[in-house]
Amino acid sequence: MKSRVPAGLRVAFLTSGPSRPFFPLESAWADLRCFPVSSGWNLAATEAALFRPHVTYCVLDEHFDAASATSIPGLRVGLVTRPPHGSRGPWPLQAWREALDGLTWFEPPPEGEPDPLAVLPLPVNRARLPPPDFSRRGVVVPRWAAPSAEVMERLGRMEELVVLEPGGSLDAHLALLDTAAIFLTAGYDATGRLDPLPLQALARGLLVIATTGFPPLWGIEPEDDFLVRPEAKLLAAVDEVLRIPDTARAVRLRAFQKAAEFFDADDVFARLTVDVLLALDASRLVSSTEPSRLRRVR
Amino acid sequence: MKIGFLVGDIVHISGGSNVIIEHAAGLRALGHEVTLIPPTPPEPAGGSWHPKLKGLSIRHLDDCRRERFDFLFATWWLTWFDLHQLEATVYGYFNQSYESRFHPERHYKLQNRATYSLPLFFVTEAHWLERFIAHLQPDARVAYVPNGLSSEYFAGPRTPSARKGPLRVIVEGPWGVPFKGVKEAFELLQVAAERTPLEVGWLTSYAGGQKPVIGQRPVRIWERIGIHEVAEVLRQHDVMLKLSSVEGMYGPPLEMFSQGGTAITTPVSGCDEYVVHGQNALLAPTSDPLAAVRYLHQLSEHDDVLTMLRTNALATARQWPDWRTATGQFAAALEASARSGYTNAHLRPALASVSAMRTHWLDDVWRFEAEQRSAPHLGEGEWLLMKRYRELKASNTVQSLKRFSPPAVREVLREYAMKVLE
Repeated sequence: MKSRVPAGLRVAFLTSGPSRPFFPLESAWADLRCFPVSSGWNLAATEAALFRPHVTYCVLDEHFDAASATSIPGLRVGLVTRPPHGSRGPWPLQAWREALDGLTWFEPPPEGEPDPLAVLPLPVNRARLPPPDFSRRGVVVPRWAAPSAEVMERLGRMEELVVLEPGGSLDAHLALLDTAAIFLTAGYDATGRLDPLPLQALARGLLVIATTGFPPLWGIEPEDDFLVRPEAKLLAAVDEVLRIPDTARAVRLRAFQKAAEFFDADDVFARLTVDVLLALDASRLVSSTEPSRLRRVR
Repeated sequence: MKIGFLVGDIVHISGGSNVIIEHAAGLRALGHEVTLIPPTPPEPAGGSWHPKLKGLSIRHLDDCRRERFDFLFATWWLTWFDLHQLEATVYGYFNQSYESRFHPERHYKLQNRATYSLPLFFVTEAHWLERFIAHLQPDARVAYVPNGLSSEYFAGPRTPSARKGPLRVIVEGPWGVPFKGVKEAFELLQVAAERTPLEVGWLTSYAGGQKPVIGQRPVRIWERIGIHEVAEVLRQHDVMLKLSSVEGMYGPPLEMFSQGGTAITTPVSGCDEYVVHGQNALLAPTSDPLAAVRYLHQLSEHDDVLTMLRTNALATARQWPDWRTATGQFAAALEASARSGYTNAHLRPALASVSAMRTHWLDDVWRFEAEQRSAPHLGEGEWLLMKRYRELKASNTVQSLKRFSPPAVREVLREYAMKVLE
């Protein structure tokens, strides 16, 4: 997916969580800069304002400070990347919208919410992710979406098994994904809807075997990009891959390619930036005739 | 050189057939002996949809068995399983899409994957397929040859035509093929028409009897028209709406570009060959179901954006190679291979083995299905009745009655029951 973004654009990301796996940290299409809000939204907003961004993406959480955000010049877009509820109850999205020029949602928003600027599942920063390594072995299973104890026990006898424990850092979990060939998940919700790891596994070219499909709108094709099996057939699916590894090669390659086609963070935010300008500042989109240049962040 | 293309249905309209016909005609024009080889005798009346089809040699597979080809290409994936039937110096696969994605059935997907199991001479039109094949089959030769844009049928204007009135949208694609997204396109247009004035047309190889109405205006339909008539239809529109979810490298948006129109399309595989979001078209991701609706509204509202996209789209099409150039690249790849003395004729027994294995397996599947069909069919209700009857028969009461009834009485009762049931 290619986009043409007007040249010389400065784009800021304000985010509390680990940003590396989800957002582009450098890009050829804009001068990107990430401002962590771990020390508070106010400080991050002040620093971002000095950068004078044309577009700012605020990854919303329950601590979002709308008043601080208004100090950032340019267009401000809030990203709802998960259900908008926290320990203090639902996020006051209506009030926050006063400080924001638009919102994106991780899925089509429920009725009653204002129309989003775009629907945007959490993307994957694919920079430097190599194509799948077919020589790897091993199965990774997240504890929070593990099949029954009996299945896990038999799985452990079939193949090297790594269990991701809740509370572990995302970086540590991603490092473990980078050592394995299969990612197995047995959750009840649509795969990847509330858990970023299945999409990260897909982007790394692991064979994802899941008991439920990805959200249908994501366009991730069962059997071609990943496998869906009921829990009773998970072991058979793993066994098939171990006995006939060639069967899974095409699936793993397509998984890697599908993540690039639809979820690559660099592409997704370039496209979104065009959409933001189209909706809010169309004249900038039309007047720019030069292609964007490569700019690197610090 | 003597070049054969094993083809499926070549006489009916399809984008894939268009590509094969253009390359075959172009290679013939360069002095090569080219034959299209369908698995069944060709329909004598066919070919009217593409003028170049008439000038090509089309011969049934059986008629080619005594010949030796310098290059023999499978095209549509099922033709791969016929490669072994003919003799060739180089066995090739002109791979236009990952056709496993056309079929929801697992057995078709597995069969399709088998067509990538040997290091054939691959020619493909999309970079994503080139990379896919190179990773799957590192020992294969893979040549990237872009599809051409016909300068005969799609010679376009120098500038986009002036426009006024409602946004003119053309939907492209056949009805009834889910991954072409035509049904979804009409559903979105219906939503868009609630606040955006639209005039909608439909260019299709098969309308399935559908007569869509958008915003209380009937959609104008062009069904199964000749390729020489397509440009005229495209010129009457501003935007093509093309929402496919599976493509190799699609041609219709590029054809639309050539006539001074833009496109709203999905970021489907192959779109990155020429579609640039915000430059010549707009990409509506599948995860954002209403993106196309927003884009239609924005294009309707911002004539300057529409003009910019149309102008850049036209420039994209003008820079794109025509068929003469594209087929020149195809020929160059074959000539380089021939000069190097390359052959993979030794793969013929392997091709035969994979095909034989598939045929035996299919025979077993069909035999099994035939047996299933001939067996008495029991519906869910009948199974339930049967289960209840067995439970009753196994119950203590019935078993006790059986034990205490003389055999003659049991026989009479059984005969009576059978009579009633018959």
